[in-house]
Amino acid sequence: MKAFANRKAQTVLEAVAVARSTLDRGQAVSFAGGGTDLLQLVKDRIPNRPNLGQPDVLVDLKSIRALGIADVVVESGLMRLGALATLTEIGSAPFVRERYTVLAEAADSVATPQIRNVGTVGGNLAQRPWCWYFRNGFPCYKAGGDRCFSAGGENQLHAIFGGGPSYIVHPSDLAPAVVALGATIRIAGPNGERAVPAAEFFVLPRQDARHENILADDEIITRVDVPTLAPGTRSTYRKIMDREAWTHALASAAVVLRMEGEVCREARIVLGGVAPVPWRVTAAEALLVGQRVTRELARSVGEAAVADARPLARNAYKVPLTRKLVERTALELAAGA
Amino acid sequence: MMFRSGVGPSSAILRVDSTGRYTLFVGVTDIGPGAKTTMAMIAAEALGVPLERVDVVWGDSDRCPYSVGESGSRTTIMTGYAVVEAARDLQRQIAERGMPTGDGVLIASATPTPSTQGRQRLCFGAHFVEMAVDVELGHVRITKYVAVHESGRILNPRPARDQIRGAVLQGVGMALREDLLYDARNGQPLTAGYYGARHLTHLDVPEIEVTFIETDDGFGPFGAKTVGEAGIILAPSAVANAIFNATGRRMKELPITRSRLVEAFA
Repeated sequence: MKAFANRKAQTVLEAVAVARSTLDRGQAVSFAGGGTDLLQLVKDRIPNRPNLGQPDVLVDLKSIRALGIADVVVESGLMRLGALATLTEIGSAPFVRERYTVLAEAADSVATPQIRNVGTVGGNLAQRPWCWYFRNGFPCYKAGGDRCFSAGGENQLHAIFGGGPSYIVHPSDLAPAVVALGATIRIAGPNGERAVPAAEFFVLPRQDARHENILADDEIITRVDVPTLAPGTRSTYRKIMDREAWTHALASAAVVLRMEGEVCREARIVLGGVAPVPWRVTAAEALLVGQRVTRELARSVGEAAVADARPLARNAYKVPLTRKLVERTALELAAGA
Repeated sequence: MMFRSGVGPSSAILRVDSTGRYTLFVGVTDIGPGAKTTMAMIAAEALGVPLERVDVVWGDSDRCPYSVGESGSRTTIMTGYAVVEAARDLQRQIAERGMPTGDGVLIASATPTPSTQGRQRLCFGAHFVEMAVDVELGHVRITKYVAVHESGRILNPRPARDQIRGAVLQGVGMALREDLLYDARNGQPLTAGYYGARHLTHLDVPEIEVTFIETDDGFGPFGAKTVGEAGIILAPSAVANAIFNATGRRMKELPITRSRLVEAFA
């Protein structure tokens, strides 16, 4: 493991300023939230920031005491998730469970209780891929290299949508949920703050093969703002894994429906585990709007969700798996199950 | 299932002092399945003394006789045999010379090479799996697992049962989850490490019931037969057979993962 300096930041401004000055000295820097994954990357000598290599300095964000940065706050029609709130807090808050079920279920589905007790909202959204090539030290795009080893190799767990030139799948469970909820992600850097819709926070490999999101090396997520949902809205997160716990999605679905009696008025379906970004399937959503959700309709919704799938040599199973997942989730959620 | 349960060479040393404390020296190392306790139990039984009067020194190559090590499902049946022989020798010495006094001790040792007189000695087992399979999502949930073993007389029931349970866990992991993947272009492993190995988590583990049918064929220490490796052999085929029984389809490649099930039924 490469030795690193640990800098405890007191404020958001200090955190990003330390990162900027470290970069200006020509050194590598990483921000540490819960640190559950970051420390493993450091120990495995896998670059967290693909263009920087092994960090010389870690900026510890847990020492920041800014208002709301580690809390879940509801005010003026918004739910504000602090970037340092833990996944356990998100999963167990009664308000989140009741109103934003998709988010609580997504948080609950992450890894293990120990990791959720420490892992943060910001860290989960900005998590690096779990592609076995990246995690086993291959010099791929995600590690700062210039190729993707999965394309002609073992791609059982890889993307069926949006791939190329990298075929990773985004590992975050919160990501499909926040996109489905129409959340806004607030980002702080040395030049101030910016806010982007969650869907624009994540980037496809064809825009940037090395990064999964728009964060610069000296920027952090400070907060996620989730809008109030209209009456009649219900939501859920379903995650298909290759074992019962402590793993990433083979396919997942964040589904948000606004129902008026038995008729669906609005629908958001965002898939996880199947694309390099949370993958919204608008054609499938459109089939639901204005309809009673029957078994036949749900089947068509499932089919529409995978109509554009482009499986690789070894992950064709993800197409029927995702189709059935979407079909069942839409049907059960609409029925109130 | 039948699994060899032969007898073979081993060594043990047993000492008694004037306070009536017995010390057993065996070369085996207790790697978790309770060999230390089981060896003490065999000595206490053979000597006819309470278990708390027997100390065990194990795995110390300076003080203990040679042992081939904890492997091959043979610790109880082979080293246990030497412990019984050493105990009998010590009893004979005590009968002849009386218990030692003062600083005196009596020491017995045994290095028997028993044989099954040309016959093959085997242990037996049968495993039963009840499961629910969701073929559309490729999900397998084992609702009940019953392992029945004939391993001769069971000398130390709790570790014997847990050894079968541990073996079943590994066998179910082998059947459903664990895979070794390498990149064919460069031979680098892709499923390395604790996370990559895809072993079962607690939530994956079914309820496992273990039943022993006890027999005594006159060989081995008090009729004990092999437990060890016998437990893992059946699990993958029992799980695969249950999948066949539930779905009507034979899955012929391990592990029978979600992806393989979905592909087979798509």
